[in-house]
Amino acid sequence: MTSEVTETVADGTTPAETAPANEPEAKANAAGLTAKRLKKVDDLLRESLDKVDTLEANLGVVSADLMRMACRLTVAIEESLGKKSLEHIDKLVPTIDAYLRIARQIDRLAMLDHRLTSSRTSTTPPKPR
Amino acid sequence: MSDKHSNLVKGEPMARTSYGLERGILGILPIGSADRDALKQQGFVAAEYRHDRGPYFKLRYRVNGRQRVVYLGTNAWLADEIRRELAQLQADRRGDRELARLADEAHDVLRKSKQRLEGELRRVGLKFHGYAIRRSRDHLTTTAVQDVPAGSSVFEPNSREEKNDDI
Repeated sequence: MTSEVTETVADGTTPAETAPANEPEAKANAAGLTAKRLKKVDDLLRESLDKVDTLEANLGVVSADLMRMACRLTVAIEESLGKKSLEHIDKLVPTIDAYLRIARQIDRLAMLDHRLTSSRTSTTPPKPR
Repeated sequence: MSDKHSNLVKGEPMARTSYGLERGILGILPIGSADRDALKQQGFVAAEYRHDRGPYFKLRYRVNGRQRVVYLGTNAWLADEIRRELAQLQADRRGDRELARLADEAHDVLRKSKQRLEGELRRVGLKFHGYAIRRSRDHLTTTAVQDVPAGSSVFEPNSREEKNDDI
């Protein structure tokens, strides 16, 4: 195959686009996504602080704190996965575990918040699981 | 040091040394493999002065709790190269420490989030069981339930079995 010919893969990217040369671009994309994510967390925090019900407000604030932490953990885990040697990969396990615990807690709080909100808006209280 | 490794002059390509490029500049130092392993954990290049003269560079590290010192001479370039290699050698270790610190911080955030919500949850007849949120057993039997403002109690259990359900 000559050097002029470039293959196009199914998703429309050329092999060169997946090469390490695009690493800075990938990093910039990841940083952009993280910034967007953090902005959404800030929005949640602001909305929560405006709520009248103290439990709902606290749920939102605490969830925002957890989401911010989850975001930091995600960035750290992804960075480490990229550059860690195999002998150090086991050191990632506690961080991944912490991330999963936080994600689980965010899920629990979101479920509670959803139930609180739906019970307030509907006339009949929702049947618990 | 400088006599023994006289080919270590500024700008001299590492490949020309007889010690092999893959071992790096640390490979030419008179240290054993145990010491090299110790350097992955800790160790630094110190610049020291004697009677206003210097700097004299020394590689300082510990093996099994005992301090070891390797005299590097006055060559600042050599000292910088060793610093750089040490930083690379210790990068994994430093990354591991940062990850561990972040995991600790995450557990701390989780713990504080629980403390912060406990009071509010109690008000509506809920409680933490570990990190899961459940209906409180006391919810139906204590006066606490009367203190709950109308409409705030979301999880009114309708059977004994549901009392401790994880919501």
